[in-house]
Amino acid sequence: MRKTIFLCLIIVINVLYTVKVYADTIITYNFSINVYDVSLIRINPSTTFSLNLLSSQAGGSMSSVPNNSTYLQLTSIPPENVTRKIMAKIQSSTNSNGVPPGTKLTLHAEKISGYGDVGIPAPEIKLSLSSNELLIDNIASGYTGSSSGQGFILYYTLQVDPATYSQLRSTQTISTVVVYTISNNP
Amino acid sequence: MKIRNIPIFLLFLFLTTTIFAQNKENAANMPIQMAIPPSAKLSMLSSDLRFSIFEGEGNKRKLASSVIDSVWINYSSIIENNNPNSICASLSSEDLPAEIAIKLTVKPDVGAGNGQMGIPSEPIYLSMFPQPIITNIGSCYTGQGNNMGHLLIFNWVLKSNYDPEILPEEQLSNLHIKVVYTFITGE
Repeated sequence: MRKTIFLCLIIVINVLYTVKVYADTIITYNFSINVYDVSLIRINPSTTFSLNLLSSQAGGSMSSVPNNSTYLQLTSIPPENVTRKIMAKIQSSTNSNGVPPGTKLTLHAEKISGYGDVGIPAPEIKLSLSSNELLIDNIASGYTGSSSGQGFILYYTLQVDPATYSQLRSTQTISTVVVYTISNNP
Repeated sequence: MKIRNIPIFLLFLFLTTTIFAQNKENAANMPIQMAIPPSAKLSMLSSDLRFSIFEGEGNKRKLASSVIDSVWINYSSIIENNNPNSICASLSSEDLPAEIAIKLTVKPDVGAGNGQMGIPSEPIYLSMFPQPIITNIGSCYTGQGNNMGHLLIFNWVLKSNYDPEILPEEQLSNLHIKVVYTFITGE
């Protein structure tokens, strides 16, 4: 009987020692966390809308009601000490000028929501086929939100160019695509 | 690789794939449709024009001034292709006695608007048939209100064949006529 008790005691001590040795073992994992460069933009909603130039009263100039049904939304994490900008231009059109003759298509953005540094809107710009125009500048790390009504509200206006009013002609529907791009500032 | 490292590897793979996939969305498109419908609108800035050939009573009765009144015409126009618009004027009924003629003179646009304004025609005598009073109207607007657009001046003329025996003066003392203005597009 004494032999048996002694044997059991030896087994218990051995087990406890093993557990202690295991518990004292330190396992080290080396891993790195990378925050990747992110630059995402979208127009919400991006369904087609119409701008028509109309005259309300005899003797009055033609004008259109601005469209403000769309929002530009973005998420940005740039490299250190880098800011970003969003440019806009007319990418393609069924008309060679991009807009009806005698008119200009203007755009400006107004910040509605944003967390972090989502940028500062530029003054009203004139959209064209030939050149990219600055719409929002000084974007750093931030996001606007992605729900309806969040981000930068976009005001599009089809305006008569006073200098070329006599060139206005009634036109059938012209389809135009405006493209927005986000890129790093030099 | 140890089994317990597999979930960490899978998580890393998922995040990397997601982030790189999102990074492609650095451009966005917005389709827009634009149109300009043809337009031709005009308005006259006056109430009814009434005039009397004679003024005064009894011995003081005399021929009135030949000027009836003047009125400003405003218009807006968007032409189709390169076909200019024009404005015509006519009498709406034969209420005007044959001994009386109404002369309409159109002054040039005062320049308060913009675009290709119309050109006044030579003075006309109003009749039942529409006659052009402003032609070659392009895409333009005159401005709204008095002192904008063209001034129309109406004068009456008593014809040389007037015979008081046939048409007593009383019937000429208060005449009321209607003039119709028509915007004609593409002519």
